[in-house]
Amino acid sequence: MTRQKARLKNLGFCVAGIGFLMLLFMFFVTASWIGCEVKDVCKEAMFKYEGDRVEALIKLLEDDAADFRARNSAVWALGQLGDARALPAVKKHFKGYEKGTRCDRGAKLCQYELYKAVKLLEGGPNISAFVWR
Amino acid sequence: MTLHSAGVVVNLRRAKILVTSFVCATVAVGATSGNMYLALAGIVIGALFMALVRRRSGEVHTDERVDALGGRAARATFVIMSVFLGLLSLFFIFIGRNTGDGGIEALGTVFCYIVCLNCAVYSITFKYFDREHGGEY
Amino acid sequence: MAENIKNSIKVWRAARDMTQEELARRVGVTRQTIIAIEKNRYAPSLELAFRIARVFGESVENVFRYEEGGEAR
Repeated sequence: MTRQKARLKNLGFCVAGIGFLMLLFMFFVTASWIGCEVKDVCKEAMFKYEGDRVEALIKLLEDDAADFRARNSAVWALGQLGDARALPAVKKHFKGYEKGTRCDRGAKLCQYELYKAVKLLEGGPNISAFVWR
Repeated sequence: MTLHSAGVVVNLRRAKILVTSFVCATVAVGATSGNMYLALAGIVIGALFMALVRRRSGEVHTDERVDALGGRAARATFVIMSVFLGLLSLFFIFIGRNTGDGGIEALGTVFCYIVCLNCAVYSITFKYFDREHGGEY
Repeated sequence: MAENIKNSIKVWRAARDMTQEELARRVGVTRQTIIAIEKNRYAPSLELAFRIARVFGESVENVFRYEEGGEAR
């Protein structure tokens, strides 16, 4: 191998290695941030309702008097937690989701959020969960 | 100092003063009139002009001693920042867990990842320069 | 600190009636580097040592010398 080729290979490895590390770093930071948000939602739910975090989140989801934004956050957090106990409660509210439909998280329960939660609760892959669970 | 080099130094100094005044003026005008693009254009033009003047002046700005000092300063900065951020992350994680504040704990975790990334990038760049100057090829 | 490497740049400069600025320009470094080398605070690379010696028209050994007994680095 010529010296020029070897130098280029070395540079390629260096750039690729650093790029990969940056991506890994962004992934871990994002996962930590998701974990932090989930814990925050759980904490707020457990402050208002009794039971462990899943039970408290289900109670928040079922509470018609609660703010829609908080209930949507509860759906998201239940999906992230991936506890199968939450599946019936989430499925009960899931009416179906059409791709591209936008939802007003402050006005109603977001079907896209429910759809994502159902997928995760049914054992769908959650690549960031191992970082914070 | 020869007449030629003296002239170059004086011209460079004059150019620096002129460019700084120009950038300050455009940024000030841009800020007061709320025109962000004017301020940005002033900074970009100033930087380009300064780079051109430096290149044409023929004056030596860096040499092997500056490079050696830069390397030592960079290594010292790396060690200081890694230790500082490592300790800070420990402190934040400890405080976050004790008070139950997830935000502070997450901040500590992120600092911890930054330290790991720092060390890993250092290792990769060190390996790169080691191969580049180590005579492996 | 370059404890073990001493030099006589100042002497050769005086003999050639050369300023630090001129020497720095001719070898392609900053004046601060010449000052640091003259004060034995910085050991130049082999390449720079050769360049400096060449400016004076001398061999490297006549401009730079290695002295035992300094701080080992």
